Parts: sequence; structure tokens; C-alpha cells
Amino acid sequence: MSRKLKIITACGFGLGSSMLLKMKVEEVLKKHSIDAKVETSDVGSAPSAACDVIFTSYELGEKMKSQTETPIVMVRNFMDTDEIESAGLGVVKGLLE
Amino acid sequence: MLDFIINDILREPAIFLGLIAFVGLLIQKKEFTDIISGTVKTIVGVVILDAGVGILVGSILPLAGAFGVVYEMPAEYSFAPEAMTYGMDTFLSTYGTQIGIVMLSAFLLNLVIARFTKWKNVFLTGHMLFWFPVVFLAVGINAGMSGNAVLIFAGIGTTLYMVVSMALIQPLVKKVTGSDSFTLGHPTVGLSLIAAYVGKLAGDTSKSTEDLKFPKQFEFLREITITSTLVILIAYVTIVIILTIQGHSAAEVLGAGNNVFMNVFMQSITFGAGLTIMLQGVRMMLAEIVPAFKGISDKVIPNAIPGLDCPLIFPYAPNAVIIGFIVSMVTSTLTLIIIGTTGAFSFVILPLIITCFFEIGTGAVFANATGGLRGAIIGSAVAGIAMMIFMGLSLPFFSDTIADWMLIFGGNDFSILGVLGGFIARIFGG
Repeated sequence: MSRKLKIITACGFGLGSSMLLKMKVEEVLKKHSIDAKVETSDVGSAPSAACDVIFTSYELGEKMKSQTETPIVMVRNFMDTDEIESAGLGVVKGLLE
Repeated sequence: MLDFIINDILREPAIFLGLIAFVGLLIQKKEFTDIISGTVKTIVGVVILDAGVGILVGSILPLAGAFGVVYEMPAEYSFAPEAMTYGMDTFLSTYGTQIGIVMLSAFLLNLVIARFTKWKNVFLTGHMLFWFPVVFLAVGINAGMSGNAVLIFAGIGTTLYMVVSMALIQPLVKKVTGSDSFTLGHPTVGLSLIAAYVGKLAGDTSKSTEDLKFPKQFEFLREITITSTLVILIAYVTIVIILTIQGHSAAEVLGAGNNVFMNVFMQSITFGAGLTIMLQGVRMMLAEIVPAFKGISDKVIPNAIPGLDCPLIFPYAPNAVIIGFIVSMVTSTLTLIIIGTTGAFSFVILPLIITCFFEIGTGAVFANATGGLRGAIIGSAVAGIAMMIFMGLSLPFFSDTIADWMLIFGGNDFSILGVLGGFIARIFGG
């Protein structure tokens, strides 16, 4: 359980939307006292980045699926911590076991 | 000692932004190790950003030069580096500290306005918080302003723009998302309003873009770093063919050596590389500053409505984004050709792939909401034309500062502000 997860949030350019998603993912992690490092990336770089799980949108997630073995969590509304929680928390907890 | 701090340390842009990040990390009560790594990463990010911009701009300047030759323009109108005082990379390394000051003060002014007036929006799109001060400073300095005057000009300009643009676009965001949870903080506002208004006039809401079954083959377009590299390659190949038909030596015009096609191929790849490096630099530079800004905003104005990046609107109509991109690419390229052959503008303009995708893609989502599929198509078509006109009109206001960068990222509100700000700056700049 002591391993620190590395999570990537990805969007088209890896600047704005992914930054927001990063902050929201961090909120959810904090709520469940999960210690993880969250970084932003763009759709081109994310599949090849070393990380445990990728959070992104449906459109970009479908694109990345074939390019990586890393589990991908797809979120429709980047602002919605409830959606992030229900879509991603299980995946993240699964990785910690 | 104080003199050394003010004149040497704080004049170094990378250090100044590192300092903002350092304070931000302290405010967030981060651990020692995070503070050190966050601060150093920010400083490294600024240096990477500058290098990336240099590579990016360097890869399109031969193309700009070739357009100038094809349309018989004087060399200084195609932004040859030797003809410009700065160019974006030099501009960033010269005025980075001023950019940091304007960024910080415009954000704080935005908070004050949100706290005490009815405009509750807070601009939180990090990279745009950086680029708007750059654009305003460039306009002011281009017009001959300097010192404190240009800082005040850029600070007020950035703040006014943020407050007004977020309020203008909010009704459309609400129409699309059905809630008031956020607005956009993005230079898409002018083009989006055009697309949405035209869409409303010409559209028909009975059929939405999302009723279409969109072929999966177009999905690759969403990887915009790759898409823009391909479009730049097409533009290079086209210009080589035109140069050859006109009887010029393409190799000579492009400074390409023996194998012109390999050279332009590598130039296009270099464009993709430069873009990727620039984005990585921006990402590192802002990784700590944006959460700090958000933290401050949450504390000071709990009921603020954040102004966020435009792709947040994409999931509400993903097909519209692709339609907006393709349609505006076509109409803007046609406009580019017409402008070039008629000599309507005296400056070189290049295809604007990134603006077509993000700004007009967003506009198409709004146009779909106001006028359905037909509205999205006609709205994006008109926005594509308007983008090129904005671009052409604005370049003279950046000709000595960041025109080389505007050739890639302009045509949006940056250009509109270039024209508006430029006129105002000329009054004060003398």
C-alpha cells in the first residue's frame, strides 16, 4: 500500500483542460486519503508516458486506447468530481491492492 | 544588495516566474521537497518554453518568406528575423519579468472585481493568463510605449479583456451546458460569437451535428500537434510547387540546400517538435502557478464562476468540433489565397490550424446550439473568413514584436485585441 501512484491527466494540448482535471482528480484523491502524483500531458505524449493510469475525455480516451497498455479512465465532465470519483476511484484503488 | 536583487535577479524572467511559483507553493502549504522541485521546474519550464518558441517559429519563417516571394511582398512583410526587432523568443527572454508582473496584477485585479461587483467570473485558464499579457505588452511596445506606461496599459487591457470576454461568452456556455458552473477563459470569444450569431441566422435546429454518425477515420484530427504538422507540410509542398512554376529556385528561396523535399519535410517535423517543446515548457512553467491561483480564488471568492479552457465545451458536441475545424480550414485557406492574389493585405499570412481547431471548433459547438448542423457549418465557414481578416488587420500592430508567433496562434481574440489595443497604444505611445 505504500507505493505512490503516478497519474496522468490528458487533453489535446495538455495545458488547460488537463490542468483542471488534474486539480479535480487531486480533490477526489485527497478526499479518500490516497497519495498520488498527478501530472498533465497531451494526447500524443500520454500513451507513451510512464504512469499507472490516465484520466482523459471520451473522445481522446478512445483514441489512446489502442496505443497503450495503461488503464484509461474516461470522464465526460472534467468539472464533476462525482463523475471522476465513480469512474476512476475503483481503478485507482484496484492499482493499490 | 537590493539593487542587485531588483536589477539582476528579478530582471531574469525565469527567476521571476519561479518566484511566483515559490510563493504559490508556500501559500498552498506544500512540503519542503515539493516547494524545491516545483520552483525549479517552473524555472526550467520558462527556459524550455523560450527554446520551443524559437524552434517553432524558426520552422515556419522560410514558409513565410516563400509566401512573400510568391506574392511579391517586400522582405520585411514576411517577418524575416533580421527585419524584426524582437521575434517571440527574444521578446519572451527580454520582457519575461514584465509578463510575470502583468499576469499577477491582472489576476489580482480580476479577483477584486469578482469580489466587489456583480461580475463573478475568475479567469483560470493558466496558459492564457500568460499569453494575454504577452499580447498586450507586445502591442504596447510595438506602438512605442515603455516603462511603467506599458505595464499599466497591459495590466488594464488584460483585466478588462478577461472580465468582458468571460461575461460575453457565458450565456452561450449556459445554453450548451445547461448550467452556470463555468464560463470560458479563452481567446475564442470573438470567433465564437460570430459563429453562434451566424449559426442562429442561417441555421435550423431540427438537425444537430451530433445526429451524424461520424466516420472514425477523422478521429486522428483531434491530435492537433500531428494535424498541424501535416498541414504545415502540405503548405510547404504547395509553396515549393508554386515557386517552381513561377520560375523561382525553391531551394534558394527556402534556403534548403540540395534536396528541397527532404528539407521541407524536416521543417514540418521541426514545427511539430517545436510545438511539443513549447507546450511542455508552458506546462512545466504553470504546473504550480495555476493551482496556487485557483487556491487563492477559492479562498477569496467562494462563489466565483471560473473561466476555463475551451475544450471543456467539446464533450457537449464532439462532432461539431471536427466539422468546425474542417469547414473553417477550407474557407480560411480560400480566403488566404484570395487575400494573397488580390494583395488586400500587405503582410504574409499562413494557414491557422490551431485557431481553426480550438477557437472555431468551440464556435461550432455554440453554432450547433443556436442553429443545428446547418448553423455549425455556415457559422464556422464565416468564422474562418473572419479569422483571416482579423489576422491580416492585426499583423501591422505586432510587426516588430511577436508577429512571427501570431502567424501560428493568431486570428482569434489576440488579433482583435491587437487592432483595438494597437489604436489605443498609438495614442499613448506617440
